[in-house]
Amino acid sequence: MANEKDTWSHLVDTVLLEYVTNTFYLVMGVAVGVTSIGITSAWLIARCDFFGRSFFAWALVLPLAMPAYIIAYTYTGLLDFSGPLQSFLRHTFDWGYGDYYFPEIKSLGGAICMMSLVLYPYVYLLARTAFANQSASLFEAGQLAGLNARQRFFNISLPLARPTIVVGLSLALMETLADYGTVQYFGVNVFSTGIFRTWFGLGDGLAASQLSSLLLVVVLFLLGLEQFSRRKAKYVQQGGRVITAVKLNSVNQLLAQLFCVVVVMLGFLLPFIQLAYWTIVEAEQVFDATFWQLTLNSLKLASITALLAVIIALAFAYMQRFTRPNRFTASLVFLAGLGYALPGTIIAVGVMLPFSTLDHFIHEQAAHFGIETGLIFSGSLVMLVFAYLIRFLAVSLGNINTAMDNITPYIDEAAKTLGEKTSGIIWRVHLPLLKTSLLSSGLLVFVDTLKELPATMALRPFNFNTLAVRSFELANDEQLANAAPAVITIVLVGLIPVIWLNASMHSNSKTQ
Amino acid sequence: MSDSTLSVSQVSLVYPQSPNAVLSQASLTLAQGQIACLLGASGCGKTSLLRCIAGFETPSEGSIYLGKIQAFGEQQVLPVERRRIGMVFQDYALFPHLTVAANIGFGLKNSQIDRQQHASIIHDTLRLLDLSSEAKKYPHQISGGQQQRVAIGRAIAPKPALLLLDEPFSNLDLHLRERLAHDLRQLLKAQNITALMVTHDQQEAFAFADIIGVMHQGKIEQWGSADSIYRQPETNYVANFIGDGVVLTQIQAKALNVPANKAGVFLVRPEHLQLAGNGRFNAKIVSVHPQGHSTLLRGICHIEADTQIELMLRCNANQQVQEGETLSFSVVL
Repeated sequence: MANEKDTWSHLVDTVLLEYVTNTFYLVMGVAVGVTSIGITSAWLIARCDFFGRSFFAWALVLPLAMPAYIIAYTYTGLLDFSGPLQSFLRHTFDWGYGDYYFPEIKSLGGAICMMSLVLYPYVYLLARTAFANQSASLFEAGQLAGLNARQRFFNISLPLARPTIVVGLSLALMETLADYGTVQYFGVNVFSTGIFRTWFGLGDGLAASQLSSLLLVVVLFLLGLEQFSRRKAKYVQQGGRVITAVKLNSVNQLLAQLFCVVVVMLGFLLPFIQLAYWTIVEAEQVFDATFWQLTLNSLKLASITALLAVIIALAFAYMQRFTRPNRFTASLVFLAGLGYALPGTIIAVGVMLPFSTLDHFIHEQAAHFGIETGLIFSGSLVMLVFAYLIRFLAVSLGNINTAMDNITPYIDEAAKTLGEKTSGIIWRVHLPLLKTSLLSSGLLVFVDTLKELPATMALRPFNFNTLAVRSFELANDEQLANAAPAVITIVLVGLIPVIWLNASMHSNSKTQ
Repeated sequence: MSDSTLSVSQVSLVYPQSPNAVLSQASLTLAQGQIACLLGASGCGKTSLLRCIAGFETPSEGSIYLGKIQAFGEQQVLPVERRRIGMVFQDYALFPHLTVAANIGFGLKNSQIDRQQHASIIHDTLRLLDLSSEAKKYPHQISGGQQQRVAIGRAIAPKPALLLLDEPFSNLDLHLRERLAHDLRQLLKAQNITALMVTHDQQEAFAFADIIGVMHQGKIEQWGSADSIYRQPETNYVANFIGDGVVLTQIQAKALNVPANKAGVFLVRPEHLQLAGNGRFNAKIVSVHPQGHSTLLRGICHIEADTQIELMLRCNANQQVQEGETLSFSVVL
């Protein structure tokens, strides 16, 4: 106990302040980054008409498939001293080491850039819908009141879209706090890396929990902000005639296209090309036995988690449909839906401690009977999948609940008057209607599991590796090119739901 | 019970959290092939009564018989799916994932009808409702009127003992409703289907039903033919609710020489008041409401110094009447 107390006071004396300030700057930096990129791109797509608009509407979502830690590897490869850019500069201008200033990518600023580049789609997607659905008569009223275009943006559009933008921003910042790969790789000390180091470096579970609790305070604040803004966003929603996009003149068209090209280039295309180059040209072994083993492990974990997440979400949805609304069910569903806000590191700490306590308890009890059980749950896939479910259940829960709510109770009643029992209603009516959302929510959980780094690193069984963990290990060993095959696999699988999301949003806007 | 197809007796419905009864002591009977309508303002309990008959609501007391089978009573509550009731919902509630033909065939699987006949029943129902060319389409690909016909077809295909319709015309164009209500009546009569519809629209009810039940505050105020509820309203509410007219107090009625009807209600409709230059009474016109085919007038008639009566009168559309004008009329009953 004394030892643990020492660890905590040691942390307070040395690194705690650094964790706090770095986390603060990181969150602030990413907030500025994602809102400026997100709002600008959303405005361009929703309210301006220019050549290539529908293509960019789609392409701007692509960075969502890139985990921040992955573009961190690729930009390190591109921008560090031995990378192609600096080599080119030295070669062209005949500079040597130290002759010129070049910003260091492995820094707090670098981490802010990486995360902004892949997290802005959260703001973009939500703000785009908000801007596109604003009622035309409001702006006509603004015009009559003598507001110019700029004033109409700042006095009408932005305030109306603000709650929705804040929802997107909170989601992006939750991801920022959850990130472990980028900050660890860049050597930036923040909470998530600190929790990891305290636990695995210093072996101190208590101090790690204390750090986690501090981080949790920030997470809960963001969660509250998100929930509050969601309610507010519902309140400011308006129907009526929707405003149409303004055709840009040729100079502005060029600027709009340039902005979109640069964002998509930096957030997706450039890193993707780099990964493809590494995989095809530089990697020593690409599709060897280890790679297939890793892929198999990842697919196994991701499909088990996805399947369970869908089944549990479906059970929750039926619990709500078939019982009268009550506080117990409502709070259960609410709680189950909060896990997405928790960083993988916190979940790892929160899952590991109770499971190991349980294990030791079982072990001791069994020892009385002369049975050697060992540790059953700790370091097993059960614990890992459990942790994934806490983090990703919200995804399937939200999707399936929405789909279930869209089936009106009258449909069930109609089936009943036609002689169908509950089991028949589920089988002949509900499942066919829920099919798409069951599939898409399963897919989203699948991809999220595939990408999840810190929880997997902390909780995986001994000698069990996944694509995400192995690529992180290789990247940390400066074997970026060898990490590429695993990384590009994650990205390619991650593209499936992003493309699906785009396609379904497109078809939705068509039918409306 | 007797040979009636539907017999509802003394059905009440009270929700624990609300003080007012949704239904109180509602009773009605329907014979085989009869078409009835529950008519009332929103919140009068008409839809609740329909849902009690269907089995979606459980009454607090009373009994419901479907033919000789007790659907609700002290002994038992028959589940919805075993009541053999067809229902047409207000928003139709068509299965969006099934074609028109599959929607119509949905209930056949659970009916006692032989499997070999299913295809021919679907075929006949499609033809009956003029939907043959839409058989393979999905609900979102057809018009609102067609959707309504699919909902009717789906409900009648399994040959239910009773068809319930919850405001089936409310999603359709106003000018189509009366015509469609009439057409649906012809169809149900031809198939000898017993039906009960809920609506708030008098024209719809008059065009559709043999019997109309006027509901108010959870009670069936009157259960009778269209003609009887118009000419012989049994309560002041029915007299006021159906058609135009004014219910008088006994003193007012005496002054105007208006007799009570069979139920003791003093009702004066505009058609009872004939405008004539030499009428017995004078009315000062307070408002003029042109209705196209004719003009409705509201006027105040002074009988004695302290007795004044507000009346509704009607004149030809081409007759120019100004507010404030005084017209003389006589009572023709």
